[in-house]
Amino acid sequence: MSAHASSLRTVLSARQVRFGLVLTLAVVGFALFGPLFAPHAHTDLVGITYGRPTAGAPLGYDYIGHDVWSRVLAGGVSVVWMSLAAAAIALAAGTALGLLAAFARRRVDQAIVWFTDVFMAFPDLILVLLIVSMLGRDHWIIVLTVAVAFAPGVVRLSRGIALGVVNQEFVEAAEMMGYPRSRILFREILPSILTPLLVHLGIMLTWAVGMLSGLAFLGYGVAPPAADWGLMINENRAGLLIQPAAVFGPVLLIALFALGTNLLAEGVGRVTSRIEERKS
Amino acid sequence: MRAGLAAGGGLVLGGLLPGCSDGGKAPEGAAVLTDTPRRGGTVRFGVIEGGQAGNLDAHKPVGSGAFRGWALYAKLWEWGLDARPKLALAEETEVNADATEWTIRLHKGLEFHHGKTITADDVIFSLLRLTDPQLASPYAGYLYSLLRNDVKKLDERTVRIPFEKGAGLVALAECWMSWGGIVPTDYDPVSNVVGAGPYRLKSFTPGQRSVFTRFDNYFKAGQPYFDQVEILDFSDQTGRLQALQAGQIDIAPNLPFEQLAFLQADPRFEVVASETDVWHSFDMNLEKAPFDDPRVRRAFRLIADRDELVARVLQGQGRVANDLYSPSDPAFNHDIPQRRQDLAEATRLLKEAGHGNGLDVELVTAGGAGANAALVFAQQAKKAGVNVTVTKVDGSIFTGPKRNDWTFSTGGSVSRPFLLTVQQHDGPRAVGNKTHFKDPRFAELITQALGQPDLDKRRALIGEAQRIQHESGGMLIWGYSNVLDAVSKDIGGVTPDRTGFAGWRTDRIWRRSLTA
Repeated sequence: MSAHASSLRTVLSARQVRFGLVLTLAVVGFALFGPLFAPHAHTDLVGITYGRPTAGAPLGYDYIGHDVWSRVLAGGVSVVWMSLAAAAIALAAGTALGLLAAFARRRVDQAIVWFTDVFMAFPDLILVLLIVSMLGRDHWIIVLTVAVAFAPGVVRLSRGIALGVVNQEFVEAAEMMGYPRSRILFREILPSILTPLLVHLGIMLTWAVGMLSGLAFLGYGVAPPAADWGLMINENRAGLLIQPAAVFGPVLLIALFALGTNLLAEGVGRVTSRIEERKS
Repeated sequence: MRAGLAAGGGLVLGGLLPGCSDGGKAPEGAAVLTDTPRRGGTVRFGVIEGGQAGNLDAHKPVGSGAFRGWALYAKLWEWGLDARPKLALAEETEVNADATEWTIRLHKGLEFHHGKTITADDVIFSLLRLTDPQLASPYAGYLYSLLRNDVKKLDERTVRIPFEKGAGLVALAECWMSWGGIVPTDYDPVSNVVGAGPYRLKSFTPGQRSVFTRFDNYFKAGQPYFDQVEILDFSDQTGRLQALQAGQIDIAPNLPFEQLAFLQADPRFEVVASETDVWHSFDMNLEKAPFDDPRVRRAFRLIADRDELVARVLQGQGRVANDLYSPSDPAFNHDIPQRRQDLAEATRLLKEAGHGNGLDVELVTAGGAGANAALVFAQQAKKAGVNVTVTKVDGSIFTGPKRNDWTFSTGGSVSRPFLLTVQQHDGPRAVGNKTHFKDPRFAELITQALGQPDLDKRRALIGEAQRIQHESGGMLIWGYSNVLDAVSKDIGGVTPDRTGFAGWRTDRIWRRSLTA
């Protein structure tokens, strides 16, 4: 446990990681607690269309007169929870399949790899657009579809690393001791491949932010009058030239969130690979 | 005729110009700019062509094909600036006493682009081509009562067009000015694109660019003014705005309201705002609950704050409407009092109809102005205890096979006279009757009005029909929007136009400075 704690400290001591973490937490905090501080409901029509920023409305008003600041505060929850959920589901499902493939080998392995290859050949965004346009735009459908789109990458990654682990002595020992397969998979193998998977989780989070915002922008994500950063960019882009704050506010937050998760993931990846080097 | 006078002036100037244009000294000491039409130069239009396709067909235009049609084709009647039909190629038109026949005589000496004289045969060919079931033009439906097989040529310039008795007679002129381009008997929309419009085709690349040159024997003396017209297709508004700023196009018709403030601040451009009859509505389906109850319909019409809708959705570029369309029609009933928001009365009516504990309704829309209107209305409805959920569906679904089955949806249409609009939306033979409005007295009045050539008698019929629509119809028509055209200050002749076609009239505009 102390080894874990010390490597956690090493990871956190890296400047990039700390910066990424602070940025990510700041945006998540903004999204989660923002709605509590919104001066207006996000559906209230309080100003003139594309009204410029004033004292009472620091970001001005949007395409039909909502207060942009209130909508920015309210519009992060969907982006944050949906991208976190999508990335987490993709990680869980992908890792389970990848481990199974690596451990079971032969037919099961071939089948799983074949399926992931087929899936990976299909462009992510197109797949999501297809499913969402067929099944509707409920939040959970979007989350699941994005997760399905990301899972093959996780399968390939976890299978690849796990293949190097399944042949090691401690796994063989556990097998000989007659532990059930699930215990071997999740208690013996999983912890040893966790670090690269967590790094990948961070990268997927960045992708998910991009994809979910993109979906909302294209009109297939969160539906108006709900507030959502991606949606807000689309709603107000026609007024970009007269009321830029209505577009740049949400753009900035999406960019910061993506940047934060990306820095975090990459930083953790770099530091841990250095730790691995030092160990060997 | 005003057009004729202006054209004369243009001709005189055209004769003078070659001598003085290079010298830099314009008559009357003005700079290079002039307010008198003059000949020469090129104009470039930027139109939005979302589908990246389009054609040149006179009777079945696709996408920006309708825009190109204004340059290529001339009609028997054309849109006047007041949105009423005005004689164009036709010299005289007459309806017979029992209202079953139009007799139409062409002007003498009219010519097509390829030099052939326009005769009665060409008029008949054009009419039959438009209504040809094989062509399947979407506009053929307006002429449902035309007796196609009995159209008769009386002499070289005269045609007699028979209709079934008492049905669809007077709407002929209104229909014709919209789509009825006259084409020669050897016309082909691809290989022989010939009309009698102000400009003849030079080249056409679908989805990109079309070029036209002046037709010297155009039926309006002295017009048109440009040597060349170019129409450039843009797939999105921002791209077009940039082209306008960079000077790559001179006119951007049908500007989105959002770009108004921006272009007004630019001294190089003028934004011409035309008040039109383009109308916006919420359509309530009378066959479905809760709108099968007239009290609910009335309550919804009282919930709408029309001023706010115009201010927010049309950004102030429009006027409030009174649940009726076609206000520019000479027969429009202006005596019906304007309906205003009355939440107390709306709440009372809803309670009376059994919705005292609130009402949930889904409002379906496809996006654009309609979607914004839906969101604003949803906010207004909250105040009367009505919970409106806005559902945005794909455009192809909204106008797909279920288009007339929505319970509550956004609607509206272009600027058209009353009898044309009623045939499309809620009249007895309407193909797009989203409200399922079927009032026997209303149907009777419309059928009578369609067979009534006398305007005063028709006004009485339509006036009563509109009272019925206003009282118990299914449309909540909240506003009429303006049409905005952005025009370079170097272009003259684009003036506010009730039709909304100000920026489409290629035969009326000219370049102020030929050196530009």
